[in-house]
Amino acid sequence: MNRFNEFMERYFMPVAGKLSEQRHLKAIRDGIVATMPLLIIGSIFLIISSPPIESWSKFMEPYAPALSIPVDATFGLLGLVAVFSIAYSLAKSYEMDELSAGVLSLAAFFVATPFTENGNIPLNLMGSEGLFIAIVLAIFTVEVYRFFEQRNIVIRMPEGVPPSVWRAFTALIPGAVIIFAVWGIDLILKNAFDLSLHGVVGAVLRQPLEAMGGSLWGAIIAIILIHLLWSFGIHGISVVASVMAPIWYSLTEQNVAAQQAGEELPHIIGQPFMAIWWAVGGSGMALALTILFVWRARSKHLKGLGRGSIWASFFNISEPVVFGSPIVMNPLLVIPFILAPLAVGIITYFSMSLGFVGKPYVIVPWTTPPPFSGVLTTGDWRGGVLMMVNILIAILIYYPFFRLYDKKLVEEEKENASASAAAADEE
Amino acid sequence: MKITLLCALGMSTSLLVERMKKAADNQRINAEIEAHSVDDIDNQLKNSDVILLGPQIRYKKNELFKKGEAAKVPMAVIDMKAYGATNGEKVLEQALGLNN
Repeated sequence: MNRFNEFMERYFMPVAGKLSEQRHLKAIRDGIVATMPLLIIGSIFLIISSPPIESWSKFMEPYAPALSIPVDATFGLLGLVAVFSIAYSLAKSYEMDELSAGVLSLAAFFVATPFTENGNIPLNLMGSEGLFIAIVLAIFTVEVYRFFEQRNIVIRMPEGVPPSVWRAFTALIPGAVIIFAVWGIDLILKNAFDLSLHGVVGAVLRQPLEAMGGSLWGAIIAIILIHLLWSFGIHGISVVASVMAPIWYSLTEQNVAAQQAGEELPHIIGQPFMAIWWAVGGSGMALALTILFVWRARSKHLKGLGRGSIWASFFNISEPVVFGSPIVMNPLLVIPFILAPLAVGIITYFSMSLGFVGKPYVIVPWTTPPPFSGVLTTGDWRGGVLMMVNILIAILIYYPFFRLYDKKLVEEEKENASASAAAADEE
Repeated sequence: MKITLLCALGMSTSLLVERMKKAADNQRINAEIEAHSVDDIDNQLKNSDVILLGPQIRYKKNELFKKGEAAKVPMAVIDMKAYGATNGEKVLEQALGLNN
């Protein structure tokens, strides 16, 4: 374990660090996090319009069209909001004029978006379908802008001109180039190949990434990786989500659109699955282990830790247990720490794919306690039942490992007590 | 003096902050101690005397230490054992040690 740990610290850690600090990935993440409040507000309206109990949802049916307005304006505009917020975050990291960058990227996004025949904005391209092109265009805009600024190919105003005025002029040349380039590329694609930028980005980027990230295998690999990282005391979900978050959000928004249209939900994996379902009590289904500590621990250490951290665990904060037990660098507990969420993830996936429980489409804050998070994310009361079953399964997986570890600690505590008693006798 | 603890969201270190405040009170040390998200580091560098990082974000330390050096704010990763045991005294000691 020690050798392996050294290897991880030396070779893996810098990679994880670079990945999470990589400027573009970070801007994408920050830009998408900025849409979070919108998505949670939209989720509230989603839950109201299709509550988890059937008789209620029948009652709500006539109000569905009115209730879908705020949902369209939040989930439905995920891509539109993201193009601005990603460009804004990226420009900020370069210490450029973030507002101009955001505004320009917004224009670039609309240049690339084919309007409907009546001249309307196509709502379907503003949501998750537009998310990946939003990412591409936000990065493109800021990088071109930066290229011109660095080479000083901008209109400079004489001193004394107020900043709001010279800012607008600075953005003029790079802005024109950006709009012209996106327009030109889209025109060429349209006329020469009968394609569109939306279509190309969708086929090259969005569809393969979503197929990968949305599959059970993709989820299994992500879960294993997240928990391996935690086993070394690294915030696994932060590292993995820094790459995967756009895919998970995009998949979820497609579920929202299907739910609104009254169609079968296409995806199981998505933001709620990855943030809530296998992470009850935080990573590693840690609530199960905390319950065991409170309920069955004989050692003072685990009993005390359990009592001290049960509330944090209830709100899905796992650090006290992960570092306190510790699970970190402790092979005995690392095994169930990886197995429990994996088993729960797989069971949840099949319960949903076989139709026992509704598929998740509602985004709730990750601190929402169980079983409410289970009911709310799926809009199905059976989601709450499944979540309780999941906790039970995790308790069963943890139990034998917990017993062994607890026993070991009890013996250590006894030895320490007798050692200090002996020391006291000598004095 | 002002001690700032940073972790992923500033939630998991808030318990430790309470323990450190208690430890500071017991030792009659006048210290302001807060927990924040690591994403807020630029703001925190401006008004902190010492910054401590939660061990779960230590994979970012190269980048963060560079920022700390530039701003001349001493920075360290919280000892993992002390963090696990929410040992306020020990972490406070670590923070005070950095400031000297």
